Amino acid sequence: MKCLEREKLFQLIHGMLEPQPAEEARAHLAACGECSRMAEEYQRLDAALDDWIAAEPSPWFDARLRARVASATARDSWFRLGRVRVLAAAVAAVVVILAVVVFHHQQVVENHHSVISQQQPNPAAAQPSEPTEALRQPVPPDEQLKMDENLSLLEDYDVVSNFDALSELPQAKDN
Amino acid sequence: MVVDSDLDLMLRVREGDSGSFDELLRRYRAPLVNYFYRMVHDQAMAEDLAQEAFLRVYKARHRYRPDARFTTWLYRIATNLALNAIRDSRGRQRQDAVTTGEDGETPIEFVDPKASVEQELIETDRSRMIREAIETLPENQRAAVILHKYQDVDYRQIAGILSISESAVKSLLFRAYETLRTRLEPLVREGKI
Repeated sequence: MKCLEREKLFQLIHGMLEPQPAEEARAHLAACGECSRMAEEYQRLDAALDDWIAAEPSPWFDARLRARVASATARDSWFRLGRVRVLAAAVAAVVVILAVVVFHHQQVVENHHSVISQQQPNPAAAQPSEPTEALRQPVPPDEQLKMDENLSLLEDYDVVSNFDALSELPQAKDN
Repeated sequence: MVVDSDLDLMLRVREGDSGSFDELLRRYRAPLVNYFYRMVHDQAMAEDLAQEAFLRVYKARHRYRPDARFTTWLYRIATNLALNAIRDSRGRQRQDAVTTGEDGETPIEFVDPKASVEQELIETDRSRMIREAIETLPENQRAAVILHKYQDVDYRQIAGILSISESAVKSLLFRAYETLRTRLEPLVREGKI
């Protein structure tokens, strides 16, 4: 008869086997002296471990814990309150920044409009101020007559002003 | 009289009922201090850790989801705290060893000496042997043995607490008990059933 594996025996003693394998192991144990001796050893070990004395909680355990819980609760609520304050401050900051941005934008828009309105031509004053415009205008008849009368003088002026021979004359000495 | 389940109590704690938190505290104060004491073997630290575990339960009350047993959740918090404390103290010891080596002075220990003396007095030889044998186990095996043997936690729950499979818990416990059987052989031989 083959003995039970140690691990299986251990699991049987500690109730870790499923019902069917446990039943089979128990049947084997009843008929096997070696496995019974080993099972007894595990039980003795288990009983020996009971002699390890543990510590008892001190009488002030609860009082200390309650104080720590109260402190943690107070810290939590302060933290929560702190978070609300931080959130409120952040919202206020965003509102202020938005207000500044909107105000600045309005200023820029107003300035832009005033510059445009200054640059736009006044229809009343939009008379030929530029020479090209003046040249395009038809000359009044009396002005034309004056120009015709002085035409010979203007022609002489043109000739004299562009007379190259004058520049070739010897220059008068300063001294 | 109908006794409220842990889950019902925790759901009421979630709604802000402090009386339900007191009831959970009454139920699990001693088991949790015992668990931590067995994990770290320091009364003062065990109390601090138990307080921290309850405080975490309270702080996490709004996030509590009743999809697992309350004790699984509680012991998962407790086990994480205990394992971190063990690692921290091991790191500190290593640091202290380095410091002591550098300046030759013994580091200051913030442990209540009166409590330590009391612990020594009440600890019998058998108790000390068992403690020392369990202390030498790897962290996960130690947590599994203490939960299984002393906290009466089912191996399925231990799997949830340690975030490992049920078969891994069975194997972990078997290996731990095999080690203990060898180390505590004198106790087992003279044993009582």
